[in-house]
Amino acid sequence: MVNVREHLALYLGIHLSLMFLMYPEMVIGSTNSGHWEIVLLYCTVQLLLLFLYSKSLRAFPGQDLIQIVSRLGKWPTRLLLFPYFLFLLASITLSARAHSEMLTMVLFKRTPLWALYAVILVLAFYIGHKGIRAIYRTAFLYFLMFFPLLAFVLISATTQMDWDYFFPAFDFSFDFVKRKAFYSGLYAFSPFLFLGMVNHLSQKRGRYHKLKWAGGLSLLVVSYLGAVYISLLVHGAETSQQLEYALLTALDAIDLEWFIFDRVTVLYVVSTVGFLLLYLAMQIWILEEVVTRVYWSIKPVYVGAGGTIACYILACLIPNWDIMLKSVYLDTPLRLYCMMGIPLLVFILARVQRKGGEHEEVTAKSA
Amino acid sequence: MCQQMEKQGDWVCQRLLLWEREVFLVCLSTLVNLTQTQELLPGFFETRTKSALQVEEEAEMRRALFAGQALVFVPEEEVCYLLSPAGPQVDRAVTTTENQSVIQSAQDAFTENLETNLTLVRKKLQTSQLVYRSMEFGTAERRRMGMLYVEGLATPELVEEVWAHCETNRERSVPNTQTLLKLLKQRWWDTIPTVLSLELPSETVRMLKQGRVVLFLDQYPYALVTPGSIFDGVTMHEDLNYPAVLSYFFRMLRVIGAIIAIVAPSLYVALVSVNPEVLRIQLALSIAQSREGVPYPAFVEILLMLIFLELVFEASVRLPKTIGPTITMVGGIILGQAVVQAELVSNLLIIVLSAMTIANFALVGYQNALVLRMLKYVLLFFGTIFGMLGVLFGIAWFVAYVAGITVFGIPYLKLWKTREVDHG
Repeated sequence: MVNVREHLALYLGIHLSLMFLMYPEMVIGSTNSGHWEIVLLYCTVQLLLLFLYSKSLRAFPGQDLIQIVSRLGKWPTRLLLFPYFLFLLASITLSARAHSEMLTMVLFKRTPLWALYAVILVLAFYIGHKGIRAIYRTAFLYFLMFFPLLAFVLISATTQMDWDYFFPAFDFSFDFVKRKAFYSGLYAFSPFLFLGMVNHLSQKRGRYHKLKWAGGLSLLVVSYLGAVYISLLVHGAETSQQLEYALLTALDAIDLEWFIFDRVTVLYVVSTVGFLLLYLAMQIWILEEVVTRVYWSIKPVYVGAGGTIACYILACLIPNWDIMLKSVYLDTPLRLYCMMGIPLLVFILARVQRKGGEHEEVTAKSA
Repeated sequence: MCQQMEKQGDWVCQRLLLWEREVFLVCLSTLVNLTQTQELLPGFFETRTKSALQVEEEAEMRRALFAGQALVFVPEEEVCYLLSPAGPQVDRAVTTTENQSVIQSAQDAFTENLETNLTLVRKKLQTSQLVYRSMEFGTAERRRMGMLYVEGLATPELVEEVWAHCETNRERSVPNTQTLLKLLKQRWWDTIPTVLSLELPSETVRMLKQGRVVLFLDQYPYALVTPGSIFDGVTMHEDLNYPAVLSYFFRMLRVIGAIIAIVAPSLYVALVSVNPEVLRIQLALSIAQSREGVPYPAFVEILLMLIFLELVFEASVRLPKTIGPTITMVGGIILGQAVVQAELVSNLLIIVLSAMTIANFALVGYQNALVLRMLKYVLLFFGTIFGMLGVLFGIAWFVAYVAGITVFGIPYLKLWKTREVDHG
């Protein structure tokens, strides 16, 4: 049994971890005007997938994704979940690597990158290995600690905004669908896949259950819009496109007289890294579950440690930011498969089960 | 048996004549008030029925004697009776609290005597649902233990699990709470109080009404409450004796205190030696100025002062009350003035340390304050290596660590709610 507030905290936390790095740059790179169209398109796609996924998952109460797919047999499960396994490795590696890069930009100009992602990965493994319930509880506390910081940074960014940059507000050519960056931007929407892995923990449905979820999701939509529009409204679309870290530079421009820190970026970094730890912990836990239950039944701690080390080595192999971005582009088909394929797969299985159930009911009645 | 007991200097074996019948009164004079007990004897024999407790085995007799009982041996009948004697008055009276002070709440505190403690709880929670179970630990060295819970509020699983742990370890002696933690299968090495020591009966009653289990050890003047919760450090029974606004204000203060206490030293090191550039330039310059002339790195500087501070804490606990103020005075001079004038540490550090010390003890419960006292060193270590981010990593680690703790299957992060006793 999981509280809806813990569930929401985890859901929001892991989404917030990914949306402030690379995603704004990708959206800004996809088009010259009407960015909100892209963001809302992303959000609609995610909401549709979320709806499809959670609706289908509800057909299998008390079972998680692995148990659901396992009905197909051992080898089909292994085959179908293999992209997911790769996606987990890639997402852990890339997000740890990307955030370490951001840290060297803001706080640690002299610290070597490898030391940063080593600490991040070790800490994430520590949290992840404690199991899903501990992750939930951690998520709740992290949300209480880091969300106010993040909200403060984002709200204080409004002081620097020039609302004229909002225009031209429309782009009806939809040229962006031809750009690679458009598809890669969806990576910030991928964390919702964890829902399948926690399906066996039923949610306590208290009062206002749907209202709370609606509130949480709309908060996410606002944040997705904010992540893109902060740098757009501070620098304008043209300049933002030229910047490598558009959002970071925009936040650096905020100057609060009364604030003890030189830049609010410090708080932004602290809170996103906090949420990132949560995301990585979640992914490492899923990795442990998938590998030990589908591929190789050994102690989860070995898988977690092995996976962390593997991701660390992979992260070390990425020499610079350009290659880092290229790997995100390379990773896109895999991610799209997971984001679309897994919900669809569960949906089909749910349909089959429902038909089977109806069939059984009919035969039982006729007998 | 007499031969074995003769080596005890306080061993008494009195031959008395009661209605021309020979009777022997056997006891330890240090545990029994002899004159008063002799006066009890006629009454004992008059009201004596068949159900009067008799002891036959020698081991049992010895155990009774050392537990403060008296034996009455009647050679004519060849039986030995067990007599509850008048004991010497050595128990401390119920006094006000020594260590967990409160202002607007019941002031009485637990004492060493198990029965007195139970009386205090029973008086404050008058319900038939309050259940008391008792047992004795140890074989050679015995110690009584009592367990209290409220039926209908404490889950049966929790009660039975705690009881089962005690039952299976009956034979072991329990000289201190660390052994008790060990036999309850708790983290006896951990600073996080999964079993909480409470001095206040009113606070204990609140815990009982939240559905927790309370253990009492004889001769230990604290109630041991399990499972502990992280919120025990910020909430108190006393809070509810104030208007709601004030009680939330107090709780918020404690949370802020906790944050300052653990973060202040590590943030100092992080900002001074690793990430000075994140500070506003004027602030960074004034900090640098205050550190002018300090010969060693910030980490060494703060570590030296922290060790000194810990020594002051420790010494002020140890010292006799009459010399106590000396420590405060001497410590104050060294910490406050001399060290800065000698340019051994910076002005700012003194401010940081004082803020930390004050904040540290704003938390409820000495055990919780100790957690913070230890935790700041972990954060200091992280902060020295990774600066600002290290402080974040330290906090993130601690939160995950605490979130991972479960006590008897109940998360340490659970928010216990006080409920009404159901008179079913």
